[in-house]
Amino acid sequence: MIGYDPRSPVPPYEQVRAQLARQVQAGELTPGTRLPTVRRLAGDLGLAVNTVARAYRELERDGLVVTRGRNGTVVAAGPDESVALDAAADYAARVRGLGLSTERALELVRGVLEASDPGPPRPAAG
Amino acid sequence: MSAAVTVWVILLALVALFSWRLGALGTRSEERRHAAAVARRFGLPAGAVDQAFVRRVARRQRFVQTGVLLGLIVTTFVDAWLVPLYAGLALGAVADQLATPRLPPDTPRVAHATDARLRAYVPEWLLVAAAAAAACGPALAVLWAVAPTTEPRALHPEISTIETVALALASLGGLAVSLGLARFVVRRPQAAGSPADLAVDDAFRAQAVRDALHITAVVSLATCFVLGLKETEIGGSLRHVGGMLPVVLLLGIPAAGILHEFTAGPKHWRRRLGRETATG
Repeated sequence: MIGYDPRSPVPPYEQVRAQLARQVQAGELTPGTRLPTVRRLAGDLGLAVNTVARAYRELERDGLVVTRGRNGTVVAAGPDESVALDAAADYAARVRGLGLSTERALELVRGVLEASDPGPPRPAAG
Repeated sequence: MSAAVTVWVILLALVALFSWRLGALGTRSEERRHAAAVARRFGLPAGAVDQAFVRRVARRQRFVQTGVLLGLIVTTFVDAWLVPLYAGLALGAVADQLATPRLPPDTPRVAHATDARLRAYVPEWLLVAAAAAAACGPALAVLWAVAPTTEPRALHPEISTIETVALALASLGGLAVSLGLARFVVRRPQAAGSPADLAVDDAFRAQAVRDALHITAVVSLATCFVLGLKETEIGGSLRHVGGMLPVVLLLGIPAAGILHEFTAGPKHWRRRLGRETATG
């Protein structure tokens, strides 16, 4: 379910975007789930069509939903983990070749991941 | 305006007025008890039965009663079986949906995050059953056209070939009208200020969709029975098939209704949409 509060200081498109994004990331909206049409959601929430369309566009840009023409907008499948698995296999082969221990190899990966972590999501600007 | 038309207008106005009052005749406690029963049937939580819900139930009742009474009058004068009666029921339910008041523009709102389609409101098997019922008329017409015939063929000359085709098309037309009304109801914007409002609106939408499907049931039955009269013209073993179809429909339609009730059909919407609006 999506709520819209006209008295909130958060812009309407961001209210829609943030709620849908949270539900997709939390798994409440599973991959393949069809979202309401832009027109329908705009009508239900009493918003302009362009407002909802902007929220959907941003969700699509973030890879959370995909638009499939006449089939509407659906929740995108999760990230393709096979690419990451291939990279991990390559890395494992390299560290074995270098004679590093498993603990040290994991420590190195953890350090790199933590250094590249963008941190908690920043509040979106209006 | 001729005298006959004037009488008709007055008669219709009186019936509309009478039926409108009829819905408001019950005492407050009776209205509340009825609303509680409706909430139970729809699978709404007991907490949903507030004053607004009681008014909503009473309003729907008035619309449906008006539709049924108008349909009853038309049924008396038009030789169309009970089709106008059920059409009145369906149109009353749709009119009730149209009369749902809009929310003020500065009110917080809630909406479904998923695309709620027809199958979210009624079980898929009910839609398949409606399509199957509508197909019976055309099936009989095809049977009559392709099966070996008895002599003489024109045992029921009052049903011409053109009328046979028209009846077969009417059966499909009944389905088209039902689905058209149902989709119209489902696609209308939902003005809900809270999850509980949304759940109540879903429940009434589901009921309106079921009411719309009544048109298919009664049109299919009527066309199938009229076309069944031509069954005597069908020769060979196919004659039994032609004779059985109206009977199967006559038994099948009430059976579908009973099955729908016993398999918690009125609560189907809650299984499909209720997770979003769970209020207790």
